[in-house]
Amino acid sequence: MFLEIIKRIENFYYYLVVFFRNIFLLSVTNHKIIKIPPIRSDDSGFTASFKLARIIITDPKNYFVLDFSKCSKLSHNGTVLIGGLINYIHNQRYVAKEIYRKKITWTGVSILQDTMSPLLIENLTNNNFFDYFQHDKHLSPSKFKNGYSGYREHKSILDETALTSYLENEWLSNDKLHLQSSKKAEIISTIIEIFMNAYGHGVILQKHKKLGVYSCGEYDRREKKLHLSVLDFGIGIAQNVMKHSNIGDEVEAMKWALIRGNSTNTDSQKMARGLGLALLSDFVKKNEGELRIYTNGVKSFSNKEGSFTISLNDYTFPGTLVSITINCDDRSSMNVTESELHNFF
Amino acid sequence: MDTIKVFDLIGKNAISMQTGDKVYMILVEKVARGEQITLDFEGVTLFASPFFNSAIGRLLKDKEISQLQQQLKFEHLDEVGRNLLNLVISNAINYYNKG
Repeated sequence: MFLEIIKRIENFYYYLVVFFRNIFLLSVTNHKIIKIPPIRSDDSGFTASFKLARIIITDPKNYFVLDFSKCSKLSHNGTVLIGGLINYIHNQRYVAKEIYRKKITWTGVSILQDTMSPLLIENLTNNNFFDYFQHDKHLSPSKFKNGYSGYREHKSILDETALTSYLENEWLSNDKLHLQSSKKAEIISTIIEIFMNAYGHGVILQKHKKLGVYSCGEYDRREKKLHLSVLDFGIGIAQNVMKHSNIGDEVEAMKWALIRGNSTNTDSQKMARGLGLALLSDFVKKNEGELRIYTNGVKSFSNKEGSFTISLNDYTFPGTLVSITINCDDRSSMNVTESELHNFF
Repeated sequence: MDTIKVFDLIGKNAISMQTGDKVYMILVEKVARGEQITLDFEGVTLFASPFFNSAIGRLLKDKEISQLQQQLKFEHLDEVGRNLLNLVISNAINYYNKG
């Protein structure tokens, strides 16, 4: 009883401090209000999300206030980008002179929760976004460890056990999604290729060493579709190819990267590789799903025909966002047919 | 024939280059000596291409695929893993110009 009273007093005191601090910050410091648009999992949604990213990335050493009054929908792609950008802002290095010149107390992000619709709050609660960015606090990436099924932050160094455990036992657990074990294994293997790409070509080459890999998954029960977006702030696929080749154009660089077997061998170990993106494309073709890759100034879209459409993106992005849509019904066999393989073993 | 229990070496996840390297380091000497080896994947449930690139694909730098087919045997490798293994080998043959 006594401890309960102490705990309540502590909580009350804490919220009071946070409340007055936020009022102080928003009234006496310069800040940049960002109106978050609706971000759906379609062309316009991706364009809107990169337009938003562009505003922040061109001037990240700032105090941002996120206003959600115009945001009626925030899909996996928008959620992962906003989560990643908050981390991006928090990992900026700055000198006192810059802060003084901008008349801000510090760099950071604050979410105006009262601008969110109840539906959006429910969505961001259910997908665990608020486990990382608590909406009733001054925002900073927190260290919550419980119950992930949607938004997730992965460390800058790959923890295989944590990643596979999350995919198998949390995000794609049997109580959320019932699949044949062989199909589930293939889906997880495919998703792992996305993460391997983010770690192998993204995180090890990034400017801000503390940034990790960010992901957000969704399952549409009505459509029986899985959506997953994986984000990193590495050099980007197109820029990495250009750095290690004579290719001087980002679209051409991306075309090169998507050819089976092509790899920049960026971690100095010379060996055959370069299958990850081709495997993803093959999978999407057989599954009749979708694959989108946004990296640097290029966007690539692979549909059920399996061919990539590569073009310039309206907004450049210093990193890579891979989004995949997977059909979880029985419409197609997801196994590679024998005729396409050399059966060496 | 020597048997390598892959699960004992790397656990149930055959996904990264680092875990592939553990298997490669054991395999490469045995393969060079012409030994016959069984890779038993019992208990290994998840696969990704970096693992096979590192563990198996690299062997094709110094060996022909026909030699590997005579020396290596894969047991308890599920369909996902086996498909991936064959894709990686095909890619490695092209890479080392042995096609």
